[in-house]
Amino acid sequence: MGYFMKLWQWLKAWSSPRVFYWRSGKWYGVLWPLAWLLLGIGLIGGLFIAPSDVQQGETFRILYVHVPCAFFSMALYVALVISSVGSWVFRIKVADALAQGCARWGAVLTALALLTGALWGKPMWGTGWVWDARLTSELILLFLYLGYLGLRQAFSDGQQAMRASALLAIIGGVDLPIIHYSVKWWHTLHQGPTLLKVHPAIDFSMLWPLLFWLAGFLCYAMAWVLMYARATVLIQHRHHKWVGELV
Amino acid sequence: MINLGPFVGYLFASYGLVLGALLVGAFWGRMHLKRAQKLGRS
Repeated sequence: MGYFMKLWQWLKAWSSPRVFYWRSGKWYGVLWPLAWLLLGIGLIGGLFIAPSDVQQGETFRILYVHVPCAFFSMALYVALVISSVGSWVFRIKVADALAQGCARWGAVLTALALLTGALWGKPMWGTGWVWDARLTSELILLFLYLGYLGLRQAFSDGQQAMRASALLAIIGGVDLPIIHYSVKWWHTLHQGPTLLKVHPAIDFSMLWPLLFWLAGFLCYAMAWVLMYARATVLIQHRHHKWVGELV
Repeated sequence: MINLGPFVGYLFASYGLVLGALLVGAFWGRMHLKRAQKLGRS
């Protein structure tokens, strides 16, 4: 019980802007170099060590950039929904700063997932775009991110902007299971799940670079969101005494 | 090792896009934080 209380107090302290700014600086100082190291190993493994595919040839290597973009476009939306609940329901200011970071980097990754998907689809399917359930639901995710960011700019009052955008983010969460199950619920041109199965449908010689890419994207996304949230917290609290002491 | 085939342009374009976005994102984020820190000091 004592450990849970300590863990709870450690987590609770993150909601203080001052503690958040101080702790996040330490975390993102570790996450940045780790992200570049993991991405570097993934890049070399994916381009030069993994064997080419029997059917797709070298083009299959687009998987190493497409899958992490697509996976984290959804993972960041989950983080956006959780942060939105934190800022709207529990009035945690730091959660709102984190939500803004998640929305920005999530929008970039969603656009990249669609673009790299088109660059993979053109040589393999003969087209870069079809109104397929998976592609269309991912496009809706991009509109949700852009809508969130647009709503924040539409209000001059910060509290109203937070509430309206948090509401959109929470309702938009319904798109996530649709994206995930779209390849099971409907007949789609997009392939079914490869990794999220009991026995992944990919050989380990091709799988391991993808694991490095995914780990690198995780560290990068965490570092980027923390960096953006630190900047947001600083701007919001620039007149507070602790800012002068810590910056 | 990569064999340069007819579709290798798509491969390089996709890697260029993603790696470019990662680099620009890291640079822009760093500049954004530096600006905020400057504002905090002033």
